[in-house]
Amino acid sequence: MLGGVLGVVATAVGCAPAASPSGQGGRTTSKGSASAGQPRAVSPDVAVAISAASQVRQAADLLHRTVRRHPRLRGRLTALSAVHDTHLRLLRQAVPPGEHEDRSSTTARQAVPPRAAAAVDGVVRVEHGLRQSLEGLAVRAQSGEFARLLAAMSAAVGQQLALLAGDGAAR
Amino acid sequence: MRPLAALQATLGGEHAAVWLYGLLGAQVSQSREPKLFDALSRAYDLHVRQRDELTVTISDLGASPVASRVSYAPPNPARTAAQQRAAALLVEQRLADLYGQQVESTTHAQRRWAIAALDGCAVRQLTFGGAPSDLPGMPVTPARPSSG
Repeated sequence: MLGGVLGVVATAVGCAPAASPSGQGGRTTSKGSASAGQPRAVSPDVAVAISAASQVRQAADLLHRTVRRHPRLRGRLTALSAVHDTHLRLLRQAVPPGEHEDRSSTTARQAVPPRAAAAVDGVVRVEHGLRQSLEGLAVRAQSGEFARLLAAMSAAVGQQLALLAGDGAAR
Repeated sequence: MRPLAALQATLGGEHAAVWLYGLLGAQVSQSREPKLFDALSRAYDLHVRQRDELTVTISDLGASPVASRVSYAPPNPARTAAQQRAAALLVEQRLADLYGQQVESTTHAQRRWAIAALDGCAVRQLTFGGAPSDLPGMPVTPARPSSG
């Protein structure tokens, strides 16, 4: 079943031309260069995919470090981690070879608090931010299919946040 | 799908949701199932609001909003709490697909609105006993590999 979604990604993003038919043109980034230091044009939706992948990866990284520091939280955070893994796999499919996920985050790497409850709060804060970012990127996406995929990712994070809040209420 | 067609399809779904939530609200016992009654009441109010907003949006585009049918076929008899939850879950799943289609077919403010509505449908699915999904509102939802 994942194949169908990967097809959406490839159609919507991977094969997108540098300048879109809508005439909005391609955005350029400083990543990579086609020739002699010239910035290569990256299609707007590839730029969106790179940004989304970077933000999902940062959230996943915090989650992994949180579980490493607080192994007892593994049960509560496993499902969220699996959602991130699926989303990252899909988003990486959207980035053509030669383009790289933006790993030069402007956000400082968030420390994991020593208390488990505070660590969960930190995860929840980052996930709320990720959910909003994915919504914003879905609005920006030029391909309707890719926008739908990003909106679905945001909704999946929303479900996981609701489950975490339910767990918290039950504590 | 053209934006107007997607909006009309979503409005059709909201008409059905309002009708069905009205039915479910009348069937559920407020004293025996207070949480379910509350959840159904909140969902009813929200879908009425969304139906009205869609009606205004479509009218503003110069089109005639699709009308509600006189009645709809409920997915089950909705006599027990389990059946009522299942019916509500089905409504939210169908609407999530429609809002996903609206995200795909629209841009800017209409898309932003559909994204928020899709998000709400996804979370309400959990309220009515649905399982979380990796991609709610996508036509093909990938199965997550089992961890066992």
